[in-house]
Formats: sequence, C-alpha cells, structure tokens
Amino acid sequence: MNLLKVVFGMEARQLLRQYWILGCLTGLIALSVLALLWAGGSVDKRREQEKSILNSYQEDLHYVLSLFGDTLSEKGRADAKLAGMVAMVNYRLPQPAVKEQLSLAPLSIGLTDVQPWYKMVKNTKSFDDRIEVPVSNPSILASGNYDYSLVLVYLLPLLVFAFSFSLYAAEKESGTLSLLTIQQGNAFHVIRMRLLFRFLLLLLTSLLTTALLFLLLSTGYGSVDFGSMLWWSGLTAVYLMFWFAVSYFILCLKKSAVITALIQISVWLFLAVILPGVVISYAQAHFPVPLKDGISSYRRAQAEDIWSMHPAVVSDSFNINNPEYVLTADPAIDTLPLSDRYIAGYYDLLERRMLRVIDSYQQEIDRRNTLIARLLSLNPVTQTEQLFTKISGNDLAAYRDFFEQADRFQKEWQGFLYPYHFRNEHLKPSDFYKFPVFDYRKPGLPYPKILKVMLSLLLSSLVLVALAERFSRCPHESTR
Amino acid sequence: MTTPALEAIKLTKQYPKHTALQSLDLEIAQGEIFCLLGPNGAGKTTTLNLFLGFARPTSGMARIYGEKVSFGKNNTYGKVSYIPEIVQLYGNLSGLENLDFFSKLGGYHYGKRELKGFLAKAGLEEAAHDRWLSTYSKGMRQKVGISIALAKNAQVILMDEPTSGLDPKASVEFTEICKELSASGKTILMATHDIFNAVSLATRIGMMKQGRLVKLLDSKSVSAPELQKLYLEMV
Repeated sequence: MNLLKVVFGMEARQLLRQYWILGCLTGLIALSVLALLWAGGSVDKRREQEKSILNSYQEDLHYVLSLFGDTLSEKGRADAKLAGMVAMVNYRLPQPAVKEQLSLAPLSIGLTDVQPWYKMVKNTKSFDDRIEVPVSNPSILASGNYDYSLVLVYLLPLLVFAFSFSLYAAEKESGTLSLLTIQQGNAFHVIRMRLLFRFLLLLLTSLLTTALLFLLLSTGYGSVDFGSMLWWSGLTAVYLMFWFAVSYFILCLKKSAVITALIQISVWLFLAVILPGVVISYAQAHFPVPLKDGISSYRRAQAEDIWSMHPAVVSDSFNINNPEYVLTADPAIDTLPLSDRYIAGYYDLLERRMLRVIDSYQQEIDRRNTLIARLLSLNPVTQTEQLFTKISGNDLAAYRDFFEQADRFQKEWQGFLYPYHFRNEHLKPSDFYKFPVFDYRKPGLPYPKILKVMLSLLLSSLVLVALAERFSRCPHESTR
Repeated sequence: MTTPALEAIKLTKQYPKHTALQSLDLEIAQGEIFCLLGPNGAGKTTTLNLFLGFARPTSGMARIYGEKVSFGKNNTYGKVSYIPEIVQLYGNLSGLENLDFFSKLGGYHYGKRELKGFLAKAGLEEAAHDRWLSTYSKGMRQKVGISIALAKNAQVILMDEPTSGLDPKASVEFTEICKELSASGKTILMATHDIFNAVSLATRIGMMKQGRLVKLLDSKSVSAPELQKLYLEMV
C-alpha cells in the first residue's frame, strides 16, 4: 500500500510535467467527440430520410383520401372508386417499415451504411434484399465509418502502448533500474505500479469521455438509458484492461523500448487487421458469397412456369396454402384467368418457390457467417467491436430482426387487404384509418453476450498477468 | 577478528564465450575505500554486479558483512547502496523529489529539511534542489545519486565509474565526500579508470586485467606517477 502511494505520487507529479501524456489524453477526448459528431452526421442524415419516407407516405395517404372528396362529378366518383380498389391501394400506398436508429446509434455505426434499413411493404414480397452479408473485419468498417467504437477498439490500444512501451527500457537506460532494485528489492514492483497508474488514468479518461458522449447523445438523440452506459463503460474497462495486460506481459520480456513497441504493434496488427483479414479470406474461399443474379433468373423461370399453369391449379394451390381464405372462395370466379384469387395464388406460389431457393442461398451465407464467428470468437478486438455495434443496435442481428419484423408486417398487411380483394370490395375512406402500422420493436441489450465477452476479456487479462508475473520473477542478469 | 564488510571467495563469472572474473579472493574491511582499477573488460563492473546480486556467480561467492549475496534475491540490499555510472534518474522530477522518491522506496520517510540536508551533504547547492533533474550537469546528478546513498544509510556503497565525465572541481568535491563517508564508517568499493583519483581517495587499490586481480596495492605506498606506470605496464 505504501509502495502504491509512493509510486502513484511520483507518477502524478510526472503526469503534470509530461505534456505529451496530457496531450494524448486531450487528443483521446477530442477524437471521441469528433467521432460522435462525424457518426452523428451519418445518423442525422438517416433520420432525415426516415422522416422523409414517413412524410411522403402521409402525403400520399392524404392525396388518396382527397380522391374520395368529390362525390358530385362523374370524374370524382370514378376517382373515388379507383382510389378504393385494393390493387390501387397496394400500388399507391405501400406501407413504410423503417428500422429506426437507436439513440446509441452514433456511437457505433456498424452496418448502417451497408444494409437496407426500410421496406415499402406491399401484399406481395420483394426478393432483392434478402441476402445478408456481415462485415466482420473491423478494418473494413473503419474504412467507411469513423465512430466512437472505432476510437475505443483501434486507437485506445495504441495509446496504451504509448503509455507503456518504454516503462522498463527507460528505467534500464537511465540507470534507475538498478537503483530501484537496490532500493525496493524488485524493480518490477515499481514498474507494475507505474503501469497500474497509467491504466487507471486512461480508464478514468475513457469513462469520463464515455459519460460525456452519452450526455451529448441524450441531448441530441433522445434519452439514453443508464444501463446501456454502464454496459458500454464496463466493456471499455475490460477491453482496456486486456491491452494493459498484453503490454505488461510484453514489458516483462524485458526488451528494449524499440523491440517492446514493435512487439506491441505486431500484436495489435495481428488481432485487429491480419487475423480478421485472413479469416475473411479463408471464409470467402470456402463459402463464397453467392451472386444474386442467380435469384433473378430463377425468379424469371418460376414466374413463367406459374404463368403457364391452369388458373384453377393456381387458385387451388392458394386455397390449400392459405386455408383462412377458403370461405370466400368461389370456384366459378376463381378459376377464371386473372381472377383475384388467381393473382393472389400466383404471387403466393412464386413467394413459396422463391423462399426455398433464397433459404438455400441464406444457408450458404449462414455457414460462412458461422465459420467467421467461430474463428474470430477468441479475438478480443473483433468481439469487442461487434459488441459495441450490437449495443448500438447496428449489428447484423439487428438488421435481420428488422427484416423479420417487416416480413411479419407484410403478412399482416396482406391479411388486411386480401379480404377486400377476395370479396371484390373497395375500401371506404374510414378503412384507410384502420391500416395496420409497422411498429419497430427495438432490440434489447444482449446481456449474456456482453457478459460472455467481458468475462473472456477479463480471463485473458488474468492469464496474461499471471504469465507476466512468472517472467518478472525471473531476475534479469546483468551482462555488463 | 571482525567480519569484513565485503568478501569475495574464489568468485568467478564465466559467460559462454569469455571469463569475466576468475577466482577473485578479496576482503575489504569496514571504512575502507577500495578502488578497482583496470582497462575495459578487466572485470571491475562484473565484480560490482556480483556483490550487488545483479549477476549469478559461476562459482565462489560474494559476501556482505558475512551474508552471502544471492542472485536476484534482496537479502543483502538493505546493507548496500549503489551509484551507477550513469545517474540519469527522473528528468522531470527535481533533485529533492528524486531523493524523496528513492528514499521512500527504501522505506525511509524523511521530511523536507532532512532531504535537503542529504543533498547539501552530497554537495549539491541549495538553489538546485528544486530544479528539474533534466537541467542538472552530470556532476550534479552524481551528487543526487550520492545523497540517495546517504539517505539509505547503508553500510556499503558500491560505485561504478563515479568520476567519469566529471569536471575537476566536481571530481575533487566527490573525493571529499567519499572520504567523509569513509570516516563515518561506510565502506566503499569503486570501479574506476581514474588513476589519480584512485591514489588520492583509496585506502587500497586492486588492479585487474582480463578478469583477474593481478595486483593489490596500499595507496599510501604508491604515488600517482608510479601507479600510472604500473597500470600502463599491466595494460
């Protein structure tokens, strides 16, 4: 305890006199705020687009409703009749399903720029946006996105190195190592305490910066829950601890400052760039991303095949697959070419056939994703990066969840329109106010996953420290 | 018979490609100033390292007040102070702060007045006490190193080339301080190239060559020119 006090006192004095340390800490805060502004700009743009989509829908809705206003003129009555037709409603008023951005989104943009984030839902499905490919290499994300998670995942380790690389070598080169040994018994006790001070200093700065950014977020992007901030801060703390443990281990190898820095940078490059790059290349070689043009040609072939089928077969297939609409079936009308049930059956059959092939495509992607996830499961850099993105609601799972919600909503919309369709009934103005509305359910915090990654980081840090302790106990023999 | 302050018994240090120290037998009594003289590679620093426990002896042993020095163990550190050849210390701490830090590491908590007293005793002028060490000359740093040794109040002080790079005035001041330390019962073992300093300071001089102690001289029995002649003949 006494040693801790003595070394911390010395380090605190040095801190105030070593301007580069203060400069680094100020730089970290500045870069973090800049990252928030930068990524916030991207999120703002997206939110504007969200508003624009919803506003456009409202404008279209008002326009269609206005068509019911004129009941006197013949043209007015014709327009009103047309406006109430199911096909026209489906065409004029596709329902917007938007993946809203969470308030934490500006902290980690993740797949915001890569994945589709809204769908205009009709009673028939679009198949163009079904294949999802994750971006698992943080360096690829880094090329397009500058956000706070990037600062934490990439830049913070570099700062750890800057704070630690010369701790042993500088003592040795300045002759203080032998003095520390003679005075204290083991110079590494002092070096360990100095490293601990720097860890706490960087931790405090990171946590204060996180708190500052959350405060800015809550004023600019809506309320941010305290729990998210705690998890984010906890993850930051253990990630920082991991890199300090790496640095401590490397310091205990007792190499010169240059060699120590080179080893540190090599470890960082390996975990942050090389390993993810190799894993992605390996996964690409084993499970290449299938081309979507196969889907389009398959769709063409299926459409022609169904079109060539007898209307009665198509209608029957619809009835078999959608028994909830059998009651309204009328064989005399339904078996006619281009009947409502035939059209519904056409799209229903096409969707069923398309989903089979899309699922097989998706399985290939899933196999690739699983392989990547498995190979990178022990990489603290990618794990932390993915978790930050998950907490911010911008990871692949969040987008996939949005598509599932949109699919469910599509069924709901279908269920709303089909009864009118099959009864050959037009919608009245009051029916427009009964439209189902897409309500995006935001993903909750993935507590087990966060805990798992935090524990693995903590465990890795402890193992590294234990190994380092073994090294540091072996005295370094002077060769002079 | 009193226990020697420092004792080497058949002390040998071999590296894979050369022998740094060959069967050194030496006894240094309390209060002595013993200078090890010799060219580079003679084994002077190796001898100091073996007494400090910074190197593992291949055979033989070193003792401090009868206690065996063990490599990497701190059993004798309480009895020893060390002034390395390069005393850089922490450049952005003042002389006073450096002394305070190292004293506290050694378990000594002195007040400011006492610390200043040690610095003054080591010959560092008061105006420099609160200046950053990065502004100090080598001689001034050396004095801080001495003050650290003084503050530790260790019985034995080991010094490696302490006068190299010092100007004549600083060198004379250093000699006086060492004599005072000796008079107060401290034992000093010093590795040096400085023949004149060795003659004026030491009680005994050991001349080393290629890891062997080839000559042991009483400093009173030899003058500086004679020692220089002997040294040159030996080299």
